[in-house]
Amino acid sequence: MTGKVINGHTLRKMLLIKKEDLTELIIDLKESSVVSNLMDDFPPICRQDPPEVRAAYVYEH
Amino acid sequence: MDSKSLAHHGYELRHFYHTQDLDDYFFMLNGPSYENLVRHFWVRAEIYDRHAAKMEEHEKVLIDPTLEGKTREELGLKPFTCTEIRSSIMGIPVSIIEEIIARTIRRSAEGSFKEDLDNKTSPWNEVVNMTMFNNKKKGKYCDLKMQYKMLLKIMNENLLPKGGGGDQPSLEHKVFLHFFITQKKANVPKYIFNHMMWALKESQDNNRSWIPYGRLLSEIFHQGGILKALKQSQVVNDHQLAQ
Repeated sequence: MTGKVINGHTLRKMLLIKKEDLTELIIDLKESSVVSNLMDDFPPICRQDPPEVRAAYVYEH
Repeated sequence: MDSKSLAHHGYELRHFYHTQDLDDYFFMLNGPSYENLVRHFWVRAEIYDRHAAKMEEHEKVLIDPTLEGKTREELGLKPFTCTEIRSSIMGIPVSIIEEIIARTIRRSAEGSFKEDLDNKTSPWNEVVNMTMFNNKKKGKYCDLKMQYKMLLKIMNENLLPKGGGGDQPSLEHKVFLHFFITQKKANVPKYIFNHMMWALKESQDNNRSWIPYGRLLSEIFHQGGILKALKQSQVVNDHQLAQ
């Protein structure tokens, strides 16, 4: 699931530009569902065992 | 935020975010959010701060009064190092600290940070009024320059989301905006972490159902290996993740 984008349409909704000035570009940002590359040295966020161990335990029980 | 589209329509804001090392953050924001997991995390989240750590010690002593006066280590507790947001996702205990936010948004936790400012007496009032309204007196939203209105909008949507009342920023938010406008480096990870804790308290104390930072939390779960672990152990499938 992805969210909304702040772009030229937002400016129009905020009445910061006129309707006729709103243009769509080929390079306009499109919503992406591509996941980012994993970082090598991201700090652990699981407080106890590694998440794989915990997830396996949850699945078993 | 589509900075190129905004620039094309006369709102060139990229330099404000570039100064704050937030190019990667805005790039990262355009990605998937896992609503189910975020909801799981948010409804179970609690703040573990110095006060919570003290309560933990008191509980130990209540159970066994002979432990009175013992250190945390002697009580069998881990030393308190920093404030955390603790929760769990599908049974996996998760902890988020300021450093995690900094790594996820791909910038260091450095720069200015101001909190607990008194709305009436703080000298910051004059400073931010000068920056935002070019006047020592407090101005209104309609008095803001167009460009600043957009900076405020982006702050309210992407950096310190409030879920409403965006045209009435608090003094802390105005100071945060002041750092952007004047291009002085703000400690954005610290601001985000503190704002996340504020939003969590709002959810719990005032029963607000709105959840901020859906994309940021999703990225943390991804980078922290939670998604991979859940998928590998078949606790959730792709369909459930996509919701």
